[in-house]
Amino acid sequence: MTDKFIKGSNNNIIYVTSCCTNRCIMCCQPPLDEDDSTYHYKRNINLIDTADPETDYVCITGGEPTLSGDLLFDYMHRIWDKMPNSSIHLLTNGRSFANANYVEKFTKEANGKLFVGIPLHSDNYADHDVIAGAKGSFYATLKGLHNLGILGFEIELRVIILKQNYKRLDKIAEFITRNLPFVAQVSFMGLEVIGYAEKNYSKVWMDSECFTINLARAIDILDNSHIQTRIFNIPHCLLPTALWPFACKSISEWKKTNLGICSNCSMIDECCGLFSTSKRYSANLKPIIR
Amino acid sequence: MIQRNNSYRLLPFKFTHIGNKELIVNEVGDYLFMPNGTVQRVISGSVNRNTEEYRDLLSKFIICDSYNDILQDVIATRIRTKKSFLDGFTSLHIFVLTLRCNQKCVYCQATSQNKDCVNKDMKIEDLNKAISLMLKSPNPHITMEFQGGESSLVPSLVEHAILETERQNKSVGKEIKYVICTNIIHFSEELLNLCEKYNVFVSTSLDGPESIHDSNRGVSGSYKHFVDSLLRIRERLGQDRISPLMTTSVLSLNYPIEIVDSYRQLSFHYIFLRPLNPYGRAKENEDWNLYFDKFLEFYKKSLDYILLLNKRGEFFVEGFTAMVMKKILTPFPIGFVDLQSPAGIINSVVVYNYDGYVYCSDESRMMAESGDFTFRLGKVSDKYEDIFYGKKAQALSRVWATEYIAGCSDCAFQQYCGADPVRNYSTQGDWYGHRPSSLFCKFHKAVFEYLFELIDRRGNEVLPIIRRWIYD
Ligand code: SF4
Ligand code: SF4
Ligand code: SF4
Repeated sequence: MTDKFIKGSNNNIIYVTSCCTNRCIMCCQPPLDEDDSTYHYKRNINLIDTADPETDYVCITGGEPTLSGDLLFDYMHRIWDKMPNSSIHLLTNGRSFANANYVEKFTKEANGKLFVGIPLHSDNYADHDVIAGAKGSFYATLKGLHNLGILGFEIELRVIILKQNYKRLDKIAEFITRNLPFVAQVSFMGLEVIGYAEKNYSKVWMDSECFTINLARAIDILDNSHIQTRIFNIPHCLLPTALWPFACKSISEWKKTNLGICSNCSMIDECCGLFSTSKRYSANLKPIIR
Repeated sequence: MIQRNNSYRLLPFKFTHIGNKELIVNEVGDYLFMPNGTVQRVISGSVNRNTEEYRDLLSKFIICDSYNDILQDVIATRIRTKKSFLDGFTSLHIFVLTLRCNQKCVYCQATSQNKDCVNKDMKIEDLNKAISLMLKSPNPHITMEFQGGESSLVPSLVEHAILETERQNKSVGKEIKYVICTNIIHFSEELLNLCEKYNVFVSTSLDGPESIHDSNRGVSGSYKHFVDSLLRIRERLGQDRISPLMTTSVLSLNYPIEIVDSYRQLSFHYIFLRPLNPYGRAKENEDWNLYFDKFLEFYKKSLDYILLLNKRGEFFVEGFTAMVMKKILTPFPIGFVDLQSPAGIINSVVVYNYDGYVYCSDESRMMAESGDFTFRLGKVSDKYEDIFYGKKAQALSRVWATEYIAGCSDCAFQQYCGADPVRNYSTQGDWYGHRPSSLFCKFHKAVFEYLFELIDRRGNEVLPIIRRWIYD
């Protein structure tokens, strides 16, 4: 993580708390039971105070940031005060927004540029709840999404591709067009193999060769339905060329790496690279020679 | 609320057989195509939880594991969205400024009169009153459409209508879109200026290549005039400000490809394959059963050709398919009054006729020409409430939704179809209608079945194309 927030970086991160209401089987930052938000407070305030006022992007994450109560709003206000041009990317599992009182309070406080990123693991509660490691999480997230959608918040849905959901990516896309057509973006994400994902590797990892056809179908459905769609953390060499326009250079510099083979690759500048933090990589990586 | 040993629960759904499969549709139009016997297994509680099938059924809200408030909220939102076309109430206000016309279309539904006929134009006082009624509509977005007869024969009435609307709307502040329906045979400079100044959209008709178009018009040289005016209008107003409607005469039925090509030739990227309506003069035409069977074949051939064009990289939309598929594939309603429930009449459209009376729909005022005033809602001088919420409107509301009329209420296509008491009356003699013998029903069922077969057989190939049409 960075020590100073600067303009143009996607690495300006406020880590609020390690607590979470979910226990996702691939969580890269496994949640703790005890509240450590005060522990992170000092560092976070310092990051904000010393930030470049021109900073245009700050990510607030956890754990589940909404569990820290007023602290979250305190951070948001400080960020917008100090860095008025910055857009806050709030990463949350969305469950808190199922509560009407919380949404009302949040709406009052969230009076700046904001993009809310919420993971949707499946088109059905059975799979979603297993992946999220928490009963009832699918419906709570769905309700949270609806509440935020009605109020016009900009929402990014994040679908992390796993062994538990790769077969249904097209069905997830269709579910989104029918039930969540108001979201601003859908991001399909490759897995970072650390934390629980490393521990549960064989249970959750799915190599891209098994899902690219389905991913292409899913993206086609969303793209033709005018929902902006992006692919994160999957290098170009693992994607069919038709999907390249959707692939982002997503992995932040500090945790990005390339392998030896990459030096021969003509897409090295466009490719998202690999997580330096990941403990394993796909066996299908191979340089693109043009 | 059936609950079986396997403990999942059923949500409301309907189903039908298509080919050797079952089509299951839920309360909000989500569908599943399943092998025969699926419904039996679903209701007997024997779907296995470890299957993709179980997940499909959950995802399409056909079963659930417990009734919970959130699921209910999500479905409620879906229903609200589907029915959101009702939010603003009447949006399309049709003004029949004259019944006179300069053509003699073989299928004319307006039973129009010779262009020199007297007493067939709307009176200024009636027009002014009709405009006041229109502006009383709660809908903030209004489409004001000038129809006939041939509205270009009364340019001064069109002008007066627009000026008067602008004047009255100053204190009301609605967003108004003007549309003039015209055959553009004689589209004067005066009208062009008016269209330019007030952003009037030109809706016209083109039935196909010259031979078909002229034959349908009953006047030779019609096509040439059409093309001349089309070019002039495009040059002055812009490429997208004029669009044609196609009507499929008995002659047209033999030319599914040629008709599409004639649209392409004139640089249109859109066609709406529209059958004849059994109203007005069209009623005497011929055996309707046979006509609709042939139309269906015509529709399939044209659609297939259009899909092929799209596959080859040309963007060309078939509007009827796009409308129906929007209902099937998206959570949104459509602005197509023929397929709405509650029906399009009054809820979405109303007609102010040249005779000073208000009618339910275009078809309703045509019936009045043959002396049947069943769907006359009142006089333009009547109170808004008495017309739009009056006794007749109330009586109609009891038969205007697929959700509660016999035949439709348990039909698998209910969510995609519409109710039409006016057509029931004109073809079957009563408002309620009898679905098993209804041509409207038979035709739409056939279209739905065909489109679902298309989804099933060629979904991966055609759905991307059709989605692009829908969201265009
Ligand atoms: S919601 Fe996020 S923080 Fe919580 S367990 Fe899941 S991945 Fe981890
Ligand atoms: S070979 Fe390396 S640089 Fe090239 S696409 Fe694959 S991961 Fe990216
Ligand atoms: S009209 Fe026919 S096809 Fe349409 S909903 Fe009624 S019964 Fe079904």
